Amino acid sequence: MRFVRKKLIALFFVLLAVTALSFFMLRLLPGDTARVVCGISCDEAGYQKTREELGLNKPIPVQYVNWLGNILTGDMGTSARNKQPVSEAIAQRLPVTIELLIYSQFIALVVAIPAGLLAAQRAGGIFDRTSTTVAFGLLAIPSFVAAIVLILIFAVNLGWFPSVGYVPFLDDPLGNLHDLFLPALTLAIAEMAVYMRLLRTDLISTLQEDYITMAKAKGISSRRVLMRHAFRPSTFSLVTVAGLNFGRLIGGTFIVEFIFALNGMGLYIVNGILGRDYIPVQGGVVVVAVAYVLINFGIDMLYAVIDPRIRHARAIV
Amino acid sequence: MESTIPRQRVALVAIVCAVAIFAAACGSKSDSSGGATPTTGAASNITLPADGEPQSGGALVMGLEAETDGFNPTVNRWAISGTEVGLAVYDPLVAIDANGAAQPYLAQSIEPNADYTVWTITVRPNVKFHDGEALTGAAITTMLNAHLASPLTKPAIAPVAKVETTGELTAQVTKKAPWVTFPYSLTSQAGMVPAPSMFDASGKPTDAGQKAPVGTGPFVFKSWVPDKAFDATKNPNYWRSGLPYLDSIEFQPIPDGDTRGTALQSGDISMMHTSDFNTVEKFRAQAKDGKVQIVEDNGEGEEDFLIVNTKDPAVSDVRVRKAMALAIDRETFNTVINRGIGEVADGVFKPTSKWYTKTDYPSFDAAAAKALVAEYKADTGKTPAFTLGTTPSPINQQAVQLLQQDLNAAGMDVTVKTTEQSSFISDGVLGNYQVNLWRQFGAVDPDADALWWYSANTGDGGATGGLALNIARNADPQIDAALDQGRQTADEATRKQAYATLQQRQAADFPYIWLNHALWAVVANNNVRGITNGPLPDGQPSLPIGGGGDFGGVVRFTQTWLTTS
Repeated sequence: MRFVRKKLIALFFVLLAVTALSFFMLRLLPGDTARVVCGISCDEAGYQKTREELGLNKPIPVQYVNWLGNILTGDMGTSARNKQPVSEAIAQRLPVTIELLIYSQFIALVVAIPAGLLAAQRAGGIFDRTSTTVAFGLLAIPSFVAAIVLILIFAVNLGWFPSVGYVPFLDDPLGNLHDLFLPALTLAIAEMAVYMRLLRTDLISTLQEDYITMAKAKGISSRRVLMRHAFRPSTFSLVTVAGLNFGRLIGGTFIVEFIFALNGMGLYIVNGILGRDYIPVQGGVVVVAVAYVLINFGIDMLYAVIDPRIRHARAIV
Repeated sequence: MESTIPRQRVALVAIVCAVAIFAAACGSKSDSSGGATPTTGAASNITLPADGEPQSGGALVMGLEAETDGFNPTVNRWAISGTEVGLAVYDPLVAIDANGAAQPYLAQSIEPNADYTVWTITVRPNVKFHDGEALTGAAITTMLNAHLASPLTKPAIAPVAKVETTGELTAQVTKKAPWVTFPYSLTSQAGMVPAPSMFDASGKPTDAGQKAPVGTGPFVFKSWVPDKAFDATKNPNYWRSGLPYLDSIEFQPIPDGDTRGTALQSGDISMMHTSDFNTVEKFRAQAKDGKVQIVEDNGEGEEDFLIVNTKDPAVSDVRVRKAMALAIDRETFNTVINRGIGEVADGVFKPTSKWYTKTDYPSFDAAAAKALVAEYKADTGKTPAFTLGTTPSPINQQAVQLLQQDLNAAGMDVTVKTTEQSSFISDGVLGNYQVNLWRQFGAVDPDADALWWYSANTGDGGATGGLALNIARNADPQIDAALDQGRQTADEATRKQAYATLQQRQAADFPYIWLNHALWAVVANNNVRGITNGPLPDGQPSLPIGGGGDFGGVVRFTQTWLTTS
């Protein structure tokens, strides 16, 4: 409980820092938000009025406090491009991105964990060496190449999956999972290679430990030793990297979203940047940053579940 | 135990697997929808015959090249994609017939007075908007006044002095001067009629209306998720009896041309449009194999060219602009960038257009370009140096690299600048550019493009400052006089002479460095019929494709249907 309390306090300050950094860094971007919002036909009077309406005529710290207050009440402003409230746009897009990254991580872990276990169990064997070669191959493939190849094979030639679009999850869950399989697989390809290699390496290292030797000497089967004694302590690196990927992918799915025509957060933020529509960019970046922090907080909690020693450790300052 | 299989064999297996994957990816599948032997209409159209009566029902999905910022025609920025969606939920007052003449569409009649200074628009009776409100003359007045109040769309009907409702179904439009071709301005965005409920009490467009359009069109707005899909369902009370055939239509913005093409091939969309020559070439081949249908807009469409900010000091000297025209090898450009499919341009009209006139626009002459640059350098002591701007699309990037090569070879110093589409257009209109790769001027009647050429539309008259729809900021009194003449007379010979003057002046002053005529194509799966525009309400054949204001490649879906066979 104390562990959780300490983490929550730290989380609050991290969130404050992240929102402040997001806000102030966006102020460094070239261009004038008021000019964009006012439009190309804006005269000087209209421009000044827009600056006032957006609060841009106030000191920056005051702008930050006002903006933070608005964010907390769900008011993230309105896109100058299409007049859609940013909170509405994010509500439409964030679920797509979150589902995509959960789905892709699921696929990656479902493939990587058994592969890693098998590779570690017979290190140096045929499977280990084949999986290593395949992993390096997968890592070398850029995501846009993987996407195009998958589309050509599975959408165009075989017709098994759609190349664009999807049905919403609430309308048809199975249809949704079917439609998003190719984009999720595209994202999962590089990740599964990394996860498999990480797990394999950690497992091989764990399997050298004395307590493993002890377990084997007691006659416990190899499979039980692997699953019950070696697997859990070998997952720290995997959990760390998976957690970092979760956070990274929230805003990093742009290429996949572009190729598969999915309206996710990545595309939203990039379109906002390219179109100098800074209000959506601001909202999008904050959401991504906060999500990243929260996910890593969750990962920290997961460590405590995986390793009881962490729950009871005292910080050494 | 160490494996006895050599490492090399494992690697070889991996390579064979990879090759197999790529081989499968590159192989083509047979068209699952089968299909009869394709027939050809116009020389470059390959469509399947519409056997039997049109079938009602079905949902059509169209892939568009871009998203739009909203769907109120009086306030939002519509390119071809916005116009396509607009034609689903709205009806234009006027449409173009097969002879290129403007005919009433939603309007029952549109009549001028003797000197074309007053036009009376009478709308069809018993037509209702999707919200149940009746279409009236007042709705037309509201719409046109909203256009006049909009800095964005006002220039399209700038010659209008006032609009008044003169009857239940009539509105009178008074011009500042005779305007013979006024009906052509009502074929696209300026003529699409939104419901009065899309405006507030003062006539200002509401934000809600931009996101949920209400018109009289064949389809009723259902939902719009920006960057995902715009959905509309069949209008059960459509004033054109028996139409539309489709139950619903969905527009998906798919900006990447390859993704759009792949989506069509995989059947995820039923139709798409494209102006990319690579894609057109690909689908021409597929259409010849009977896998898809293709319709190309060979009418008077847009041109690809370099637009020059003639007031910017870097390019304000006509010698620099002429040197650019001499330096660019348009034939090679057409071969490399347009796959040899495009038609090299030397002006705003195609040679097959009745408005075309041969001018002194120069052919490629690298030596002459170098000599002119040298003359400019000797005179001014400066090397012509400027930025050449474009958008991030791969084909545009290739194009500017090739152009940069040609221009630098002539002794100029060109740097490339890339900007996203919406900012690119804004920068153009505000004068924040020197030379840009551009595409424009697709109107069926040249008067509809006049607003891009009038001196009055050059902003504040400087390189920047003000909003300039004459984006080249080329103020030319001779062009103004010619445009006035083309607008104010009904005599075709006089109009031809006027537009001959326009072309000659543009060829002398080089505000535009011509490259090629653009080509829009609509590609459809084999189960789609009625890809081209069906007959007009009064039975006359319509212009089959295009004619939606300034854009080629635009089609109406009023008479599109899906076959189940």
